[in-house]
Amino acid sequence: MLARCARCQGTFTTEKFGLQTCPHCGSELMLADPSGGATPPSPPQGPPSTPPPHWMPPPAAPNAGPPPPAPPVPPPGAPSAPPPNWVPPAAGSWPPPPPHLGWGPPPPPPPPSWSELASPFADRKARGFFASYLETFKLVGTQPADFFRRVRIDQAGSALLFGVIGATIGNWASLVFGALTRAATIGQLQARISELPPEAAKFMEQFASTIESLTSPAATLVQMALAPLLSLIGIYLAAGLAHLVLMLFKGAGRGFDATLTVTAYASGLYLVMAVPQCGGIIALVWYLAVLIIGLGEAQRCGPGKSALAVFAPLVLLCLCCCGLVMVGGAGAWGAFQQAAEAAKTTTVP
Amino acid sequence: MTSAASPARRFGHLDVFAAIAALSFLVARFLPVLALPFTCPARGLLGIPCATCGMTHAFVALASGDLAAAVSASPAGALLAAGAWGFALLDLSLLLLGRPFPLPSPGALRLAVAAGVAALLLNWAWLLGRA
Repeated sequence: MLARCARCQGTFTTEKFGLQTCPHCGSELMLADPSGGATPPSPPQGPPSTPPPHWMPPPAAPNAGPPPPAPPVPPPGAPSAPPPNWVPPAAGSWPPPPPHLGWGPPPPPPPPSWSELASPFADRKARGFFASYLETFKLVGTQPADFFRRVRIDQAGSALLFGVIGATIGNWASLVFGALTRAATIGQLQARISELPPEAAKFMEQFASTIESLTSPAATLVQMALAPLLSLIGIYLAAGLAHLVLMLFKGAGRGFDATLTVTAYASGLYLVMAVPQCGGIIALVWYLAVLIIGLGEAQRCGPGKSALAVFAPLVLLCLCCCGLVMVGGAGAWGAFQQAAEAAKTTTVP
Repeated sequence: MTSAASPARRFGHLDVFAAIAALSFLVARFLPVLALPFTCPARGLLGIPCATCGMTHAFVALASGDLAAAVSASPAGALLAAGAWGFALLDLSLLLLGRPFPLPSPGALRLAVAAGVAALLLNWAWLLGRA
């Protein structure tokens, strides 16, 4: 079962009621047995030997007889049985907000009316690495609301691995493409500088110098070597920024694990950066959309607060355009290359 | 409530942020980041500094022990660098000792976030006034 620490709001998995030690902050907390009875038997340890069918889409059989009965709602605190299939929960089944109980520590959230599932990528040992990666990519990209509403948030390691792999491969492809088109891009940029006003021309000359340095073979190799580490750091910083805004507006009820899980899985969509020219823009828009939907579902805070959590740091970065250039450099570089290539094709007779 | 007999602390998310902060110190201290050809777009195109202008200089100066130069380059940058490296030092020390990091309450964290945003805006006003 999932438990949440009243001190640091972090969630963790435990097998028993009673005195617990939070693995995040080390605090001790008492997990009361709602039935008042003895500690229930522990569920079997380890991943299942066969892949569970939970993440499969529901069968489309409109004339196959009466609809199956709804899955039973588990009692509070008890380990819930997994649903028989990948069916979104019914509308209105979200738990009601907890009553205000004064100044004490917040009470643990009520258990969800559906069970949380491991993502296919978290079951990669049973499902196979590539099959589970592709299935998770499909779920994150096409069913983000259902996926993030039900995915377990205590498996951040798998989410981070998924995100780092996608972002790294996307960055590698983008870097190689940038190095291959370096001469044409810089040539087009230099040709346009003469048409600009003096202030803008001076800035563009410096910008061209930066691009020239960053796309040199040595710099490309260094960036490729650092891409996995930078992807991991980027995921953590993006999750941290979003979580700070969510905390500011009291929308981080499920803790940092939920924010990190959503950010990491959404970052896996940066694999699309491997598409030449338009891949960076598509990946950025897709990532932002999935991030907003995912944070709203995983934190149970709704789309308004999640959009605020995603866009407030971006607005702040636009205000602080130094940071915008540093963070969005890859996307801007891709867009510029696209524009330069388009200009090249229109000017060549 | 924290028990002295609690089991050894695991490497968690907080420690990852501490490692990132420690890495920023190593980069600012030992890599020639100021040699990178970079111009702030706001300063280059509009002639005014942005809210984070000077932060790289502040990090590099503070990593070299020059507090006055760091504050002069960007007060918020100097504050951020000092806070991040202090947090990293405290967290990694507690991690080695196996003790939990003293987390503030959610209300205090919210207050700190709001104060951080306000500090960034004040820093921008200071930079604009100086320019």
